[in-house]
Amino acid sequence: MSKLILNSKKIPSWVFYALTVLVILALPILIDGSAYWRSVLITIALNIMLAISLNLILGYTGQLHLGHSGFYGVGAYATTLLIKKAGFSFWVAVATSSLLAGIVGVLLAFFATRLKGHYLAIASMAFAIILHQILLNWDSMTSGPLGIYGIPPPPPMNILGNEIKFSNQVNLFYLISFVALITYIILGNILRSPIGDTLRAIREDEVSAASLGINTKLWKIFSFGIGAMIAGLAGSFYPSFVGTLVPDAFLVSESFTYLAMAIVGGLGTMIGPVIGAIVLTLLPELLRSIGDARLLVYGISLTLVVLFMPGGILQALQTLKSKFFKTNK
Amino acid sequence: MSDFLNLFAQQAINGIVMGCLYVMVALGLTLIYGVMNQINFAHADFVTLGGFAAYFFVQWYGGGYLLSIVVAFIAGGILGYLVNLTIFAPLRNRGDELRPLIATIGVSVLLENGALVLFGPVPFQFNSPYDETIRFGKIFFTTQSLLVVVVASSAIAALYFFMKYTFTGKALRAISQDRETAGLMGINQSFLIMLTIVIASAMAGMAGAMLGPVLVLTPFAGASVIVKAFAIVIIGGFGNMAGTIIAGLLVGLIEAFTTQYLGSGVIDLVVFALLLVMLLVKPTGLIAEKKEENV
Amino acid sequence: MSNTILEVQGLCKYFGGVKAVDGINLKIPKNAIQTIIGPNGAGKSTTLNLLSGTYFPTHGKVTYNQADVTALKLHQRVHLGMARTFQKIRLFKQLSVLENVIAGFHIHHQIPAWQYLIPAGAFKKNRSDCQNEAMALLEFLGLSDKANDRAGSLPYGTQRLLEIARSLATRPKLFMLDEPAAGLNDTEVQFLMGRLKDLQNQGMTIVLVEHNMKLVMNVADEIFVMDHGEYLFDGKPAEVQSNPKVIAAYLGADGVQQ
Repeated sequence: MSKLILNSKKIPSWVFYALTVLVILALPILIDGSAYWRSVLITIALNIMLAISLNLILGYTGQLHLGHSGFYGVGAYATTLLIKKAGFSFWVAVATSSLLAGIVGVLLAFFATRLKGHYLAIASMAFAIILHQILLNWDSMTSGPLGIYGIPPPPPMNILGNEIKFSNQVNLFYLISFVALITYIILGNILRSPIGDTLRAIREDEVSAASLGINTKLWKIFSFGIGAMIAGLAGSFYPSFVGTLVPDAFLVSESFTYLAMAIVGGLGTMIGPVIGAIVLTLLPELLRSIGDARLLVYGISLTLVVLFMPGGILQALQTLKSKFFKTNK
Repeated sequence: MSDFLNLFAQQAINGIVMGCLYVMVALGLTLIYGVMNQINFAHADFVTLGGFAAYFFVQWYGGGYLLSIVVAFIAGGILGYLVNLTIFAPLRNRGDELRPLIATIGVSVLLENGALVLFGPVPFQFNSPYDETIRFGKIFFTTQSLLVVVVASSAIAALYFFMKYTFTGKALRAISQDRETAGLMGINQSFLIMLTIVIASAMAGMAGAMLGPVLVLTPFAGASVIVKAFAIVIIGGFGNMAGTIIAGLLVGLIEAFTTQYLGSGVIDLVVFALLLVMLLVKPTGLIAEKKEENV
Repeated sequence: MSNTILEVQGLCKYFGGVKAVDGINLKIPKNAIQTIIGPNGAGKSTTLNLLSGTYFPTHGKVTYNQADVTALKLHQRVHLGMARTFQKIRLFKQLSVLENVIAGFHIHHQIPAWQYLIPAGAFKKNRSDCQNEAMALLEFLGLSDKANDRAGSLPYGTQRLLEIARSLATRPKLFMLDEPAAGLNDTEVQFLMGRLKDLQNQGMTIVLVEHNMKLVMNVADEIFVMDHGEYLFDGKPAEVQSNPKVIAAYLGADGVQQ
C-alpha cells in the first residue's frame, strides 16, 4: 500500500534517498539570495518530521491523537532550558529532550490504552493544552508568555577539517534536512518491518490483533513513544532556528495543522505526510499575495480531502498514474 | 467570616453564570452525540460565530441586544444545518466513525481562520446594554448575568420539556438509545437528526451572543471552549442531559473558585487536569466500553 | 490425564444478574475435534471466549497443558499455542489478503533488534519466509489467487476462510473456531470440513462452536452440549444425536424448534 511504483518496476530505495540528498543540497542554491525562502525550507523540514511522526501514531497505529504540538513543545523547551539552565552541550541536550518527549509520549499512551476514538481525541487535546499552560505559567523556568529570546544556533561542527557554522542558515537547513532524512529512512524501515504489520493490525481491529498474540497496550506505547520522540527531536532544532521561543508556538491548534499535513498528503503511508508537509507549508507562503485568506488552505484542504479523497494527494497521484498508464498501453 | 461568605457567594454566582453558558454549549454536544455518535468539532466555533453575528447585528444594523440573541440563535442553527448537510449526512452510512470527526476539525480550522480573515485578530469588545449592577448585600452581579441565567434556564427547561414530553423528543431519545429499532418504528431518522443538530447549534450560537459581553470576541475562542465542553460532556456522561447540566455548572464553579484562589492563568490547567483524572479513574460511559467487548 | 490439552473446572461467567455460563467442566483431549453445541443463548460463544482468554471468568479455572492459564489475557495465550477465530468477522479490511496472514506471524519473528532500523540479511530472509509461509497457508485454504486483493472486498465465505488462514499463521496447537460455518454455502462447508480434518491430521486440537449439525456430526470426535449456560450432555456424535435431553433442548417441550 505504501510502495510508490514508477514505470511498473520498483525503484530501489537507495536511489530515492540519493536523489533526495541531491535535491536537498541543491535547493538553497536554487533559491539563492532569499533568507525568507531559506527559512521556509527549514520550516518544511521540521514539518516533515512532525507529519511523519504523527502519521506513525495516527496513520499506522490508528490512534486519534490531537496533541502532537505538546511533544514538539517539550522538545523545544527542554533543549533550550537544558542548555541555558543546566549547561548541557547542544547535542546532549537534543538527545535528552528527545528522550524526554518520548517519555511524555508514553504518558499519553497510557490514556490511549484505555480510551478509544473520540475520548482519546479529547484526552490528547487536554494533554496538549495542559502542556501549553505549563509552559505559559511556569514563569520561573520558561519566562512565561514573553518567552526566551536570544537563542543561539547550534555550535559549529568540524567536518573533514572544515568548520561549519550554523549561524549560516543554509548550513542549518542542511543539518535539519539530513536529520529529517535519516529519521524518515529509519522510521520507514521500522514500518516496513513486522512492526509495521503489527501496528496496522492494531489500527484495523484491536480485538483480532490480540487474537494473533499482539500485546496492543505495549505497541500503542511504542507508537506514541517513538512518535513523540521524533516530534521532540524536531522541537530541539526549532529554538535555534527561530531565536525566540514562546509558548504560543505550541498551541493545541497547531496540532490540527500537522493533522492536516498528514491527512492531506496521504495518511498511513510514509511519503504521504511528506507531500502534505511540503504542500501545506508552501501553499500558504505562495499565496501571501492574497493576504490572510491563505490560512484558509488548511481548513479547506483538510475538509475536502476527508470528504472526497481520504487517501489524500498520494491517492490522487496514484489514480492519475494508473489512468495514464492504462491509456498508454 | 462573613466576608469570606460574601466572597464565596460572589464566586458561586459568577460560577453559576459561566456554568449556564457552558451548559448551553455542552448540551448541544451531548445531544448530537446522543443521536448520531458523532462529535462536531466545529461546535465551539458556532459559539464564536454566533457571538460575532450578534455583535454585528447590534453594531451595523443597530438592532437591539435581545434581538441579537435571536439572530445568533438563527445563525447557529443555519451553521449546524450546513454542517449536517455537507458532512454528517453524506458520511453517515459509510461506517467510518472517525472521518466525520476529522472533517469537522477541518471545518473548525476553516471557520476559525475564516473569522480571522474577516474580523482580524484584535479582540472585539461586545458591550451588552444590561450592565447595570445589582447589589445584594455585599454581593454584586450585573443584569447581564441575570439575563444569562434566565435565558439559559428557559432554554434548558424548554429542551428538557421537549425531550421528555413531545413526540419528536421521545423519538430523539429512542434514536439515541437504539438506532436500528427506532428506524424500524418508522421514525424519519435523517430529519430528526438534522433537527437535533440544528437545535444544538442554535443553542451554541445563542450562548455565543451572551458570552460576548462576558469575554472578548476573538476568532480563536473555539479551541479552548470545545475541550471544556467535551470535558463537561464526559464528566456528565455522553448523552446524559441531567449529568451535563450538573457538570456544566460544576465546571463553571470550579473555574470561579480557581480564579479567586489560584489566579485566572491556571483555570484551563485545573479543568483539564481534572478531566484527565476523570478519564483515568471514573470514565462514566467508558466503563461499559472498557470491560470485555462483545465479540 | 496427560492426554488432556485443555481443561476447565467450574467455569462461570456472570454479567450482572445474567448467568451466561454456569458451572461448566470440560476436558478436551489432545488432537481431538471437540465441538460445543446448544440452542441459541446456550452460552457457547461465551464459553469459547472464556477458553481463549477473551473474557475472564467470574469463577472457575482454565488449565492448558496442566498449567493454570486463567489469569492470562487473550494475546498471552496465543504465545502458548492457543488461537481463535471470531463469530463476527474481524479481518483487517484495508489490508490485502496476504498482509492479513502475515500479520499473524507476529509472535514468530526472529530478527535481531538493530535490523528493524537498518535491514540486512536476517530481515530480508524474514520477509521472504513470511511471504512463503503465508502463501502456503492461503493455498491450504484455496485463497492463493486472491493474495493481493483487499480483504474488505472479498465475499463473505472467503473472508471466513481468510480469518482461519490468518489465525493459523500463529502456528497454534489448540485452534478454537466460533461458528466458522455461519453464512457458508454447502460447498464451502464441505471444503471447511476437509480442512479441519487435515489440521487434525497435522496434530492440531480443534474446538468448534457450531450450529451447523451436518458439519458437527461429520467432523466431531466429542460433542459437548450446553443449554441456558449449563452443561446438558456430552459424548460421541451418535450418542448425542439420540439423547432425549438434547433433542428436547433443541426442539423444546412442545417440539417447536428452538
